[in-house]
Amino acid sequence: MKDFKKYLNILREIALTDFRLKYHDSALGYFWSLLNPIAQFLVLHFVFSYLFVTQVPKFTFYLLSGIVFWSFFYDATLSSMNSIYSKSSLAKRIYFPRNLIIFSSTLTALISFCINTVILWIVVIVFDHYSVNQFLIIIPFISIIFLSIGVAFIISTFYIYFRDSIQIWLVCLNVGFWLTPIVYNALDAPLPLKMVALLNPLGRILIMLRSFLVFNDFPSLELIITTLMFSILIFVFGFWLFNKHSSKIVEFF
Amino acid sequence: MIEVDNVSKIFKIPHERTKTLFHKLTGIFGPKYSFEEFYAVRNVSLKVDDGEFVGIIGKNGSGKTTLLRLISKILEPTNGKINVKGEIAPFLEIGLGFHIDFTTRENVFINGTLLGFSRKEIKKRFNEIIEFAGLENFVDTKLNKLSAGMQVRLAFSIAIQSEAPILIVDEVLAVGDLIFQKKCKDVFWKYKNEGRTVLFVSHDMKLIKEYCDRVIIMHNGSIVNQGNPDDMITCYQDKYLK
Repeated sequence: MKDFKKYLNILREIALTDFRLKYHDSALGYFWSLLNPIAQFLVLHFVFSYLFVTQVPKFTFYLLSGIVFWSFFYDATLSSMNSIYSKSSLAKRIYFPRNLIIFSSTLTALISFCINTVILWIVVIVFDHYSVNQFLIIIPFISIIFLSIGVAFIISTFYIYFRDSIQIWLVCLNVGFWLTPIVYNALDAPLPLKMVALLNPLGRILIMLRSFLVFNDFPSLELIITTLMFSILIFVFGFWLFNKHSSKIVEFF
Repeated sequence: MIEVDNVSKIFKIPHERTKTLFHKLTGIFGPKYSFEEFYAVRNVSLKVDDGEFVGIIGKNGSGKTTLLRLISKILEPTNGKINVKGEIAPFLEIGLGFHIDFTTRENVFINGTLLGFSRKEIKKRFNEIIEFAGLENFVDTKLNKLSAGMQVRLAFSIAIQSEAPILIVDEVLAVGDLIFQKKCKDVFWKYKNEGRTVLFVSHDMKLIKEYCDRVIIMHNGSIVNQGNPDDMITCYQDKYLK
């Protein structure tokens, strides 16, 4: 119990330190971090509003919500992989459960994700509508956290053994962006893409999110339960996998 | 109490470095992946009783640090078992998690937390830490403005706050100027008088002689001799330092 508290302290301190380092201890630093997703949003919004005109209703909010959630997945997984390397020197010097490395880097990403989600919600309320259903975005919110941490554990395990897995993961993220219904509606997509987008857990999370937040309707209960269960499953598997291999971090770095 | 039972640690030293998946995949068609097994620690058994001050001496690469890391749970043994009763404070390297972009005060909190203190405990000891390090005028200075010596003093001052009954010390006593070294020595005498268990690696035979109740000689990963400090230092200098 005493150990658990100690490790919780360590987790908090690493995550906060990283957060402050990332944003240079200023509110402005946080806004800089928004620059990239905002630019991405503006470019895609322009392209799909003027060049290839999309049929998706409420496209602005549809796209914005997709990008906020995708950015968290992107940040959490990529920074976890990087943190294996950056925290290995710490791991060589003291003992702490190695999974704290992943938890702390996802926690760092989670701090900005929370702020972004609140902002997203406010934007929808101010410019579109408010409904009680919107409180249910907690379900996709929790699902994506479990999913992202789980995936972070899995790919970080690969990174322990193979240094180039970070390049491979960047490619996966690039392709994954288009295999996930972020800028298009999964149901309107041609068949193979539709299948992928609907089976993709991230895509299912986004479908839930948009139902609650943007379209004010209710997705099937089956979708909600399977998606949440799958995310938790990935988390549990990733956690188990990483713990099995984490002792190698000290030896291989 | 520390019990090390027939512990070995093998590092695999690859002949070819295959650290990437790309190499691994292309390696299927190429020559086979081969490696050498290197025993950093070989069949070591050791028992340290409560309140003992035990010194470990040996040449560079004799496995001293690996043994300390194994006992601190940083590395997992390949074979054998390690049993430690009581909390360990590892002094394997000081200044853990220091960030030069943060101030002295912030670094005390970061480093202290990593060493296992809660924020409240650090607050309580903060003045003592700063005073010991002699940095009263630099509390809110960024760490990169401090000299290397000052940083080491700060790191050391935080580390010695530990109340753990077992201390694992790897060659960190000799930091700072003579005045600071005197302070450090006093702290270690205090530890000894308090009856804490200390495992102490050093190349400074004077320190070994001064503090240790028992000395262990390590050579090529094995414990080759142990006994009282005077005999062991003579044995080490005659037999292994030539």
